[in-house]
Amino acid sequence: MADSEMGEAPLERKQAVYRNLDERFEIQGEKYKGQQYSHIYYVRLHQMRSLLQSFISKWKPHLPVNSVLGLEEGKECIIVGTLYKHMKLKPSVLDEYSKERSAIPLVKPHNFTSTDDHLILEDESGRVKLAGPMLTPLAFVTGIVVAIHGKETSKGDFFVEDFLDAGLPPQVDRPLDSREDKYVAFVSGLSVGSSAFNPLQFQLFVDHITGHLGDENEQRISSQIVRLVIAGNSMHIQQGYFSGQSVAPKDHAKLTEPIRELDIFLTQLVSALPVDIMPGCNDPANYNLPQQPLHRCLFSGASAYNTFTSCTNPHQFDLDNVQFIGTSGQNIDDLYKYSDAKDRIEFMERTLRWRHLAPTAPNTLGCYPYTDKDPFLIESCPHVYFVGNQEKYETRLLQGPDKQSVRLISIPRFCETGVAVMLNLRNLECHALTFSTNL
Amino acid sequence: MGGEEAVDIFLQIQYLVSDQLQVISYKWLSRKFSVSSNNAKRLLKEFVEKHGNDLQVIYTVSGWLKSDPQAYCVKLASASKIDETREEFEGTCSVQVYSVQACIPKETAVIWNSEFVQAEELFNQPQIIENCLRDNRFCGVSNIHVKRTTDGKHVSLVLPKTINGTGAFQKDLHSLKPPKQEPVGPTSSSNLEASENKSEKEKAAKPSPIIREPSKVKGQNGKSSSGNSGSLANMWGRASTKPKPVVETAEDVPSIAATADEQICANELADAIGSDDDFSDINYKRNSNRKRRVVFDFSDDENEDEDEEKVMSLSSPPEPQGKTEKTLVVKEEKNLEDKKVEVGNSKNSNAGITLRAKSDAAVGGKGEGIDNNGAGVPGSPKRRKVLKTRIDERGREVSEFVWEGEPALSDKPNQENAAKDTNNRPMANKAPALGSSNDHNKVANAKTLGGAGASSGSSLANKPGGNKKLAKAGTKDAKQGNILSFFKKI
Repeated sequence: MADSEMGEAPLERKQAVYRNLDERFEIQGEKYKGQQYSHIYYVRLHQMRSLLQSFISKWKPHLPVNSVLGLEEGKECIIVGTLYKHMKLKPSVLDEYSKERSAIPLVKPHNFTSTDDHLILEDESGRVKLAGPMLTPLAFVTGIVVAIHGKETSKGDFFVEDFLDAGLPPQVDRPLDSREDKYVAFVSGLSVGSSAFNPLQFQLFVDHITGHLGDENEQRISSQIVRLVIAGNSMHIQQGYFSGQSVAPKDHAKLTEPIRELDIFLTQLVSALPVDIMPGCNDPANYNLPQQPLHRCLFSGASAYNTFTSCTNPHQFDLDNVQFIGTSGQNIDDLYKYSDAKDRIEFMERTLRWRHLAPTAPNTLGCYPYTDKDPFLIESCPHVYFVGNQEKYETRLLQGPDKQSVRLISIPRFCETGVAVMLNLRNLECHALTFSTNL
Repeated sequence: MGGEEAVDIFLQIQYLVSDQLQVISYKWLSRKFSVSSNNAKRLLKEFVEKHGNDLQVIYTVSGWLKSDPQAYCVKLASASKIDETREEFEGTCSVQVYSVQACIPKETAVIWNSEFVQAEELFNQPQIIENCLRDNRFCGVSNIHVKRTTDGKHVSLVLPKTINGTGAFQKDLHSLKPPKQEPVGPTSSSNLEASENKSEKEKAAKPSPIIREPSKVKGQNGKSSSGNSGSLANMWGRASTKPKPVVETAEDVPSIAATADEQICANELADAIGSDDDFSDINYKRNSNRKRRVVFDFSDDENEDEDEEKVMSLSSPPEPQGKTEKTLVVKEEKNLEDKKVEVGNSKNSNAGITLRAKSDAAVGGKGEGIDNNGAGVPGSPKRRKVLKTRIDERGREVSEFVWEGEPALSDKPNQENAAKDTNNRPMANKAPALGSSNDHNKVANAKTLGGAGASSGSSLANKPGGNKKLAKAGTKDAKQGNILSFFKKI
């Protein structure tokens, strides 16, 4: 034994230069003075319009750009504005009351789209209903800023002939000098404390990542993992405790127990490698996006390490100059409710094209009422865009017209699938990391 | 590790697995015997080769999947399915022993449980202590850039507002336990007990909250004296005694006594004010199948000790008595154990709570180990009834009333039990590297606050904890009665 102990020097974990870019998502010095959400829409429209205007001059330079108020019947023009999607099935508090009275049960489809949906374009001056087969409402949601080419019909609608969205933002070139494999691990939806959580499975994950498990080969792989990102919903606290009633002292344990257990797991992780933890919709953080970092005092053990980073959701950072942006999944889940696509990756792709991480905020997604900015606008294209808490692991490399290439990753819920995702920083290749405890 | 130690470890593993039905995972083994994970896996593999016939083995199989070449998979597989599992993998996959157990549990969390209990125990140690959980020292991948900052506030010396204060103090004592100086003699260990002692030494060598020597000595002295002292007094007092030689460490008594006291008070406090602290007494068990156990410590140490106590019953089953030659003392005490059990049962029957003899033994003693010092706090209660709740090895929650501070009869057995407990404590790890021991010295310096600190005896020169204790013993003795009565009142 002694020989073998001396014979094997432990592998050294690889390092990567990390820069946290969460600042834009931090709510600091903001004061809530009863403002409404109009500011966000205004800022969004303003910023996106100036962007679109520069495209329009290349796209259709011969056409005039009009405001909604200045539309003239039959005259072709371009209007720029924010889309609003009118949805019959979209739930509304008022609806609920009226329907209760008339005893008609509420329809609860998996999402709220229907064939009757139609789009309306708004700008500062007014709104106009959009018509024509060009723009299919199914693919769009409220809150996107687009430029539309068309003309007003006699009915007062705007007949769409073509449309332009902002498209993929410009991308900073990815450094090519990295020849060595370095991995970033992603995991989400641990739900520590829920009945679905399999502690042995997660322990295997922890042991693999931290370099306990496996033979030398496996440990070499784990020594190449430079960072772990936990993308939301790390713990699960029974919903019953959020009813607003005071929790009996006996039940306090049930509130804190999952957090403590998670802390023990986290301690094992952060003692081995840098870990970013993002809040998710089930975590004890604020509801509205951007969610602020989970308080460090929740994790008394793990927060003592320099490798522990509690981040915002959305979370933006770069590692060895590879740029990452990601969310815990609320933005994509909301798109799923109010629009349709063939998979989650397509939703992600759309948000990049619309240059907006969460277009449905503040309409159907909780959002802080900013007055001076819209933090979710994507100004530069990330190299990696990840979304947590999805049904299954999916990934695609999205290529843009200006040689952008973005790795899109949908991270599945770990507690249900036992799957984590590994991304190679060298070539943005991705693979799944699965753990199975079926004996 | 020499071959003999390996044999010792094997014996222990065999005992734990087949008699205690414990799941031994490589990580548990690594933490318990302070070997690296890779060595622990090797040990387990050797063990399986030698003794694996009547045991169930679970392997980890990992590699790239055939079905999905884009997936690296880590699978657990029982020995019977190992071949078919191997088939699912592309090319060479790594196969290693994950755990050995008497039977394959239905609920996979069971496999994980003992390891978690151990992790939790390490996690609950005071922040300033480095342990194998916190520095990840046994893994195969090192990362020098990981730094842990404890600013000292966690374990502040700001003492006794209330019970918690004393708790914190005791914690300090624990944490300041320096490496032991006894020579380690693995060669002499030819039987199980020797090996246990050895691990005991290892454990002792590591600073951990488990300080035993001083209290142990007390325990011995106290055997002849009356057992009705205030436990707090013992806590203060025990520092003055000298550490004992190793062989007897097995008999060392956990320093819970103070906590028993505190616990009562804590309970009473909580009851009285009905505050948030209530939840501190709750042992929350999520799922009975899982045998899991979570203890909430609302402040520091009393619960921690309590934790320890529970953890003990879960994570470290009693020493294999049948297989080993006990020291005289232990034997003698063993006879008394039965009596103790009887006592416990009769008391507990009142409470109408089911209780098994074994668990009783496991619990009862701990609280009283150092309770028997005659230091005599005026007005200290002679007997106290303490409600203890814990989880036994089978994951059942056991609540029981235990009489604390009973004279002679229950005293001795308690010690015995306690001795057992200590024996069975998961062997902790080797002394931390230089850096951390420096840490401790530093802290030690910080802790010698009072002038009395400097007066510590030479035998304690390198014992920071000793300094502290001495100081306390010197300055606090007069007040102990007051403290106790304060607790009483509440």
